[in-house]
Amino acid sequence: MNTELIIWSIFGLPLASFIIISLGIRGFVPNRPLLAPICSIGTSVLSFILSLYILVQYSSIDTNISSHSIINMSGLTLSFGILLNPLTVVMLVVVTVVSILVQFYSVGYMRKDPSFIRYFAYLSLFTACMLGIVISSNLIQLFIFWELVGLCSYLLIGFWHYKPSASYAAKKAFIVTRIGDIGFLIAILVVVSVQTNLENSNNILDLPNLITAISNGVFSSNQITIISLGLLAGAIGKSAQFPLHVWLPDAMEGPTPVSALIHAATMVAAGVFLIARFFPGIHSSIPDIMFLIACIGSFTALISALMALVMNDIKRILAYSTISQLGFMFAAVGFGAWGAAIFHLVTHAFFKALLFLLSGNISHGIPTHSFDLRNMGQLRTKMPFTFIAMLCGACSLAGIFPFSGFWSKDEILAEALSNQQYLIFGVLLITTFITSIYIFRIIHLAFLNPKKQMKGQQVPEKAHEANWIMNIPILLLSIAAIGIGVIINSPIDLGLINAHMFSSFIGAHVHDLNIQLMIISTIIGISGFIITFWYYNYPISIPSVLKNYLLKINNVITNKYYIDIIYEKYFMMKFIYSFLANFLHKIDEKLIDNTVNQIGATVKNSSHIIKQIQNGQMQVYAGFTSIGVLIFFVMFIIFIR
Amino acid sequence: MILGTTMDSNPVINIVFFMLSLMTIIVAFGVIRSTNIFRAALFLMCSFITIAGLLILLNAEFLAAIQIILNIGAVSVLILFSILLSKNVEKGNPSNQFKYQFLSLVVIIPIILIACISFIHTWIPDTTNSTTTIYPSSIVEMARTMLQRYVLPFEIASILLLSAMIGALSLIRKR
Amino acid sequence: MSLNSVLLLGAILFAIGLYGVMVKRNVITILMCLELMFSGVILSAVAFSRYIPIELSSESNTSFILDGQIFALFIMAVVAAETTVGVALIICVYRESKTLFSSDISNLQN
Repeated sequence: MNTELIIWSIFGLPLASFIIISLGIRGFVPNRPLLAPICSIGTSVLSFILSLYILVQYSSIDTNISSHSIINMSGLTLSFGILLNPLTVVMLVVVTVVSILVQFYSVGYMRKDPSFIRYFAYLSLFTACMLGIVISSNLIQLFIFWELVGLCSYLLIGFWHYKPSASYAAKKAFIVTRIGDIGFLIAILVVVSVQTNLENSNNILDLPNLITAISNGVFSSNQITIISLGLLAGAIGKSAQFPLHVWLPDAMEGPTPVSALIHAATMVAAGVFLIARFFPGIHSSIPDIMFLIACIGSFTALISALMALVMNDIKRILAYSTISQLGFMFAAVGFGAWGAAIFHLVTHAFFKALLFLLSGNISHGIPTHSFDLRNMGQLRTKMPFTFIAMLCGACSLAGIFPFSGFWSKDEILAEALSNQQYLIFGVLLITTFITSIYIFRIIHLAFLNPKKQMKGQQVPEKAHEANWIMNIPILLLSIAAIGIGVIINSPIDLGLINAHMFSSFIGAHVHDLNIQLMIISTIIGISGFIITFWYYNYPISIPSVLKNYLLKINNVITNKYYIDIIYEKYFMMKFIYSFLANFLHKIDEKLIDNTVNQIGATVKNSSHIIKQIQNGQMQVYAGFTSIGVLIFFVMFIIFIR
Repeated sequence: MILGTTMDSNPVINIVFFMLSLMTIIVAFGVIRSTNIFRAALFLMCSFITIAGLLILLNAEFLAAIQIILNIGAVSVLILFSILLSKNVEKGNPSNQFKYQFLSLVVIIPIILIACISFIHTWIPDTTNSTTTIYPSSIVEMARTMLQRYVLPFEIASILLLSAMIGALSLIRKR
Repeated sequence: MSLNSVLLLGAILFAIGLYGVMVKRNVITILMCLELMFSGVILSAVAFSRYIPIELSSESNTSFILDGQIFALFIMAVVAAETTVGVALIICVYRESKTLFSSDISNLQN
């Protein structure tokens, strides 16, 4: 079969599903809403099968796919094409798998929503756009899908647009990611400006050509810095890294399956994907920026893990956890271990999707339908399935042997050690510890019977498990959370499974087995569990001096380090609203409006004179027509004769 | 000799032409000056008759016959019929206010001026002295021209008349 | 009687008709004045064919193409059609607005 056709149909099938759902089903059979999930899940499954085919046949297919030029301008060609490499294939499989499971879960979760069909249309579009990012070979093509993913996340976060908080969160997500996208756009513009001055016909907007051009010295060092900083800014915005992380926790206003999709495979993964797509090829030209990426990643990992520690909303905790895990990936790319980063992206996609779907399960099951930990407790007996699945996800996130998160996180830590990034290694190790604490805190507060309850905690009397439609994806994701790490990338040969299958497939660096580190990280993960258990069961008395101090810290973290406040109060209100907007408003009012008004007034006054003619009297019209003909006649006599 | 100013040799024809012209202009003024609309329509019929006479003078006997049959016989009857709609036939033909008259004079005076100037200084190129050329019968020539050279427009004109008739009928049909 | 005198007469008739079209208030009069204008044009056309005939010479005989007269004939056909439709329109408008004065029917879209 034609590889190009297959890849395009992997991307095109969800897109077709979006069109069919939004135009066909919503337009013609709106009273049969179950057609929408059938359509979207069916196309996703087809895409998944095709992606799997590509994955299995990867060694035998031709990966050289030429791109098609869409727009030809002088010196600048916009072409659409496919960049097929192992990274692409892995992402195709992950995106399609997670989107199938999330859509399946959504059938149960969103069943009673009046906008059921619209929801599935958006999900299909979201999947299609993410697949578009993954296959893009051209920088502008990538940017188009990049923005479309942003749009889809806007639509889905604000899905319940009648809730003010949801529309606010959607707006915030869109605007904050736009700030990063400006950097992306600047990077593209720099590349375009170089391209138009270039003599040979190589289109450096194509990603492989761009990477070759950078290493061949086509760009000056300043240009390389601007391009990589711009792309980094785009990735930071999309992947919610510091300082643009503020949108992701608010994005919890959307439906829970959407959060799962955004956090696992589509939206936030795009940033890491871009970094992993672009930076490994050029890392030797920009060592400072690579170090910057590592610093941003580890710093974000630490601060967001601390924020996750103090939140009470289960989805917010998971959101901060996502930011933290993405920080891990950024850090990994930053010190050159992009294979480990992608491996962590894959395992994270599964266990984070699992955790989010489970939070949806919990909220679905308890009578208050809230995500607040204070409304939960003792759910272990009422929701045993959810509890066990949650335990899988939590162990995976905490990095406990042999869950999948352990392998990927361990790989990142080992790479940090082997690259002599001791500071970053230390930060990430601390983050692992905090991660383990906050995720087991959820388990304690929600499922176990804590003796020490939180302030205002009310244990729900009645709770029930979700139906089988919601449980099947959770079961599959739990299995993935347990086993995917060791299956796809086990550090030693396991008979059927070769060692480092994943790393060698995507062509990344393979590190040696580091048994001590594995033991240390597992101990750290388990110690988080033990500390949490001990803290909630055997409360200790803290000295009051220390307690005051801790309360202050707690206050700072609960207020999200005042970053949101600084952004909104000082930057938005003081700078943009009061200063910039006011200034622009003055210019608009005095200069532009006034000019336009004057022109309008002049036209209006002069039209007062002209409109006397247009009085609807046909004889006047006839008169003026005759005058016109006469003028032509006189001109004919004078000039032509 | 300039063609345009060539007078016909026969003085009787000149006199008849002059008389008919004068009558035509007078009845045309009658159409626009009489306040009684019925009388205006009668003036219009008179102008049709004088124009038929002028057509005969111009060797267009066929057209003159058509003029009498069509315009005086049919068009005038139509107009007289529509005059029956007027509530006040006696004062049914008023003029507009001065503004319109001024506007029309702006158009008309140049037309008359141009006509007068061209009457004196004609620019029509001199051709052979064809005033003396007598063709035997204009009807024969016309039939030949119409049915050989202009047969397609002739047919189209008939379709035009048919469609005008159908259009008029469908317009005034009571709904 | 010369070409120019006939053309002058046509012009005068045309001008009178135009004056009537622009000044008279009754739409029937406007229609009649249109007839006057057409008459002026017919006279001019016939005069051209009378004074500037086109000779079409062949070996056997000489024939004339009377373009002007044909033109006049077609004008007459058009005039007839125009009058028919015009009168029908007048009747329609009269049914709607009960008036024949052009100044009162300046608002056709209602």
